[in-house]
Amino acid sequence: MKKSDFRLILRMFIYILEFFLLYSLEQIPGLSLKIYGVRPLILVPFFISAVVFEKEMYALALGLICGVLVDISFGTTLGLFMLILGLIGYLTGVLFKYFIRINLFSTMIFDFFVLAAVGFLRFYFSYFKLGIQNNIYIWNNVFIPMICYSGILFPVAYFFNKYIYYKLSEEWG
Amino acid sequence: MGFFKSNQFKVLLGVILIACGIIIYSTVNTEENVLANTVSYISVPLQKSFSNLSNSAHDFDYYFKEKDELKDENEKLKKEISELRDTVIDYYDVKRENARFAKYYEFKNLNKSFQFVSAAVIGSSPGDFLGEFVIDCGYKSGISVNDAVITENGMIGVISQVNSVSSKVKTILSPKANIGALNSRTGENGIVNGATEKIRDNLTKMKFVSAQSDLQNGDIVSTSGLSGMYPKNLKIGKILSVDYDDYESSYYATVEPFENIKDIKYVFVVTDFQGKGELNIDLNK
Repeated sequence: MKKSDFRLILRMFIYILEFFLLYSLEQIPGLSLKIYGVRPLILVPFFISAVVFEKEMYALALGLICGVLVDISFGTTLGLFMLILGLIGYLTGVLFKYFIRINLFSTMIFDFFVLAAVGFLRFYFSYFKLGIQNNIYIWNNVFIPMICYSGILFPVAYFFNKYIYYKLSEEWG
Repeated sequence: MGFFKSNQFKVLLGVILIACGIIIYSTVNTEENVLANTVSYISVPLQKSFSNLSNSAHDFDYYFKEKDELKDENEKLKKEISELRDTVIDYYDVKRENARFAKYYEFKNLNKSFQFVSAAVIGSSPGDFLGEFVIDCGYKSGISVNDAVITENGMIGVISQVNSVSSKVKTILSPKANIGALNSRTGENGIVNGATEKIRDNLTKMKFVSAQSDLQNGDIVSTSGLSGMYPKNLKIGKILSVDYDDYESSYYATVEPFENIKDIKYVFVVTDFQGKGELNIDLNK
């Protein structure tokens, strides 16, 4: 096995382990600090910060794994967020490889868009589609604060995964 | 156009098709899902560990609060208490567990036909507003969808999703809950169904109460057991007020549950009871 292949496998393994740990941590009610009565989505910012550095096919694979965890966490139909985050992962890989320069600002803006999309889809499938009354109240009081809160955490995720990537990539030998 | 002939496109297309297949499989097969079960086998032990860690931290905090209250009164014991800190934390755990099982035993004696499973709350999803949570027991423990979830103080919800080693609970605060209920004093029927604007205050509603009803503040609401899905006479809460709902053109009672639903750490799931399924009226549909 080539050294670069070994590094890639190790990196992917670390990302998957990271996703499982964050998924478990995200679920514990008393563990993350509540702001405005809401807890943040931790998994999605870490997923975005990992895939911006990766090639599109690896990003697709990470998106599929992250999506399964998000589906279970949200209680949505299994496969829904798997497909959505898989495609977002692929798209992110392509965008940041060919069109957007990777830096904290650009990735953070992108992360906000993804969080807004994930938040909106969760709101749509878990509340709006089910006809829950006063769902606008839920959007304004739960989802908007949650998206903002999760987005603010992004720099931590960005520097953490950037460190992992550069420590375990070819560029750093 | 080269992209559409590339291997990358074929892989992407394959992934989309597989994901669509999983979505269809999950939609059709809601009772048992291999993928969700596999993930829960890995995640549930992790969640249990983190949850225990979180609970220990909470007990530690509680210990300090109590110590502060006693500080003025008993200064001499302070040092001793500090030395026994770890022992006290364990003691709170054991005491809480004992109290829970003593009440459980009492409850079990009163309801001999009930079959229970004891479970711990291990998580809830961020962005969840309806008070739903996950427990550490699944169909391997005999739990199935629509089983009643109770504490020693009464009913707090029903099972909405089951995996092999974990289950999701839909609480009585949720607008998705439809639990047949009655006023214990008068026997008048209604349906306990949460309301979005009351969830944060730990309140729920008893809906479809007749205009002639004699509901009074402080009346106890309990399960009616009419559907045959849940046992009857499980306490749900007490009535705080009775109002008229313009939207549904009927009266409703605001009910305060006997538990603070968002602080619950341990529950019991009623997997079987005498009369289960005798009347097959599914109120959740």
